[in-house]
Amino acid sequence: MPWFGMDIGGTLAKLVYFEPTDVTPDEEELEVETLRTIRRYLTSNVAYGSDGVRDVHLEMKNVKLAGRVGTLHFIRFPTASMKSFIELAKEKKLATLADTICATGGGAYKFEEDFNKEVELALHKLDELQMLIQGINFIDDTYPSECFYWAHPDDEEQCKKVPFDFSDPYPYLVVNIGSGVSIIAVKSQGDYARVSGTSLGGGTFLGLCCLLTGCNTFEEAIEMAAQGDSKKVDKLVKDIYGGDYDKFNLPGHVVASSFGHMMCEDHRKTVCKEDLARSTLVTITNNIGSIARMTALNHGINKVVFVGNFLRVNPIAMKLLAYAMEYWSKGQLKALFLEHEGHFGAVGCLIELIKEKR
Amino acid sequence: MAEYYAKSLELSGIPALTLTNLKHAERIAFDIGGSLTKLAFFSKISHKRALYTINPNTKSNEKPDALNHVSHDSYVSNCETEEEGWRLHFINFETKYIESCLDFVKQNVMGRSTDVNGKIIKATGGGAHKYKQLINEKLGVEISKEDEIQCLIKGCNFLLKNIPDEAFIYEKHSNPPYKFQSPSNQPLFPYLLVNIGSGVSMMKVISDTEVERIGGTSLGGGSFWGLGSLLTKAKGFDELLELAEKGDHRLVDMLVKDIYGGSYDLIGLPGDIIASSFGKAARSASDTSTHLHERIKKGKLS
Repeated sequence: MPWFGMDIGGTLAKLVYFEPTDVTPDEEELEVETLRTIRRYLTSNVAYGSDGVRDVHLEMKNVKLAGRVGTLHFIRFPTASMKSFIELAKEKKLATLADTICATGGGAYKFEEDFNKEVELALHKLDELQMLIQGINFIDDTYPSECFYWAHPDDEEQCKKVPFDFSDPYPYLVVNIGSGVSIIAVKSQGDYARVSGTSLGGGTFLGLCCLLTGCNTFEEAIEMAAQGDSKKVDKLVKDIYGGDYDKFNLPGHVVASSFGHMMCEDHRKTVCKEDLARSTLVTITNNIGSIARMTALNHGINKVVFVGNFLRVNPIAMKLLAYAMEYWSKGQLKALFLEHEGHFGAVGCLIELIKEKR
Repeated sequence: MAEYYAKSLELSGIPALTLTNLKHAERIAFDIGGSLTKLAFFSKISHKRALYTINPNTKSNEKPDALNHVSHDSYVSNCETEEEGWRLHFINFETKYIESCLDFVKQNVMGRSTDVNGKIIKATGGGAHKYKQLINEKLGVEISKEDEIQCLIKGCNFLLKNIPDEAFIYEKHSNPPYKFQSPSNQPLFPYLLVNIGSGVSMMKVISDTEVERIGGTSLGGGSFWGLGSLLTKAKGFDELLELAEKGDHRLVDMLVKDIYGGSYDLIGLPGDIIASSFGKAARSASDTSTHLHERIKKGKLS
């Protein structure tokens, strides 16, 4: 104790904390002050410092781990605030309780020295893809309705989340949309490989939105995108052809050139920030969908699971992906989503820690 | 690249000077695209050609070298002839100026004594469909839109088979970096054709007439031009390219080493690879450095 898993990505650091709820009165009495402080700090707050957040709606109760029962808490903060986190860990004397923390993501390598020096903790570095798959397997087995798909994604009225039984998953593709994108083909238990990816990911969406609209956070960017109209920004097939491009079955409403109207000053004058944010979202999402679809085709896989914090509070992107996968594959491919979005790497690390304890 | 290719003609509202050669055009073809209209035409060009013969006074033991050349002194200029040949011209202009161009064609080309029906005018591209009526009004000809993909491969195949140094390979670390290919006896088909216009189409070219569109993306030249116009003060595509050449994308893009502190060895990703394009832009959005727009330009090109 305490049992943590950490995933330090390019933009966000994810922390999963296991809070034991089967603590006996004896155990409580013997509990070290430090441990109690940490437990109380984490579980009685939903915000930490200026930008740490606990996703309470994702909390998992009655989780059985290594003979204990407890609650899994999901916390995230910007990687840019890593220094503050290290200060906090030092202040809370984390090193007196544990000598290593299982961590993954690039930051596990980048900040290893800082953890060693400041917090006097060793980081047990684990591979992000391995942890991702391990985390997905654990949560899907444990959390009811973890996996779902969107029925009628293009119909505002009828669109809804439908649970999907992922108990017989193989083979499947995981599209992890973080700062950048990695696509992993999972053929069977233990048989997986990164087969593709793109640098046009969540970090691109946030970066471009900040530059184009002056917004500062992901939430602001999503809010703007929800109100915008990308058709004013993007050049559609019908803008070039005056209608459909029949020879290649490209209907007029398909985007031919993203941001294609913006070279023209007159068009630039008619668009607002919200339109630009929407176009950025649509462009990034469709590009990911397109690459995912081609990768699935190349590997003969028809289940594509989209994860990563880009999809957090982002139903527009999820529905777009759902619609695009179905449309372009003529119903052959299924877009699936997981409730715990970008937390799987950290969970994978927690599982690894438990394995080591045995 | 600037020093390796001839600068395209400067066009803003298409000054008449640019289209001068069009007056002698015998065949004209338009490819009216989403952002740019491409004009190709054949005209007869007169040029002087000097004919040389071997100087009878040359030293008899001078032999031609490996390329069959002999020194200058061995030649005398015999005479000059005036020759007529066909020349293929290429012009680009923004599709928004299509009307000006058509007016010019009407005044300078259609108005000649050679009858209208002798003029061969063809058109392709999305705009050939969209501007069909306009072309009819201005030029008095009914243009049937040629299939753009057939035209594309006909054009590509023609140039690849007939024009030396048409195709080239780029090798970053070679000197020179450009290696030009001659038309060879190697089979041309099949080849993958990636057409990067406003948007991108990827086609499998199987023969002179058979082609299949197998993919594409909406992130094309139009996206670069559009985003570049929004993010910088550049006035036009060429200026955007100039800016991009000066910029350093690493200040805007998040590289693998920015996340890992080095390379991501397990899957063989070197530290310099881009992990997230524009991944650093959120934090530097408040950066008011004058070089920001250059850096951004470079970020977008990659």
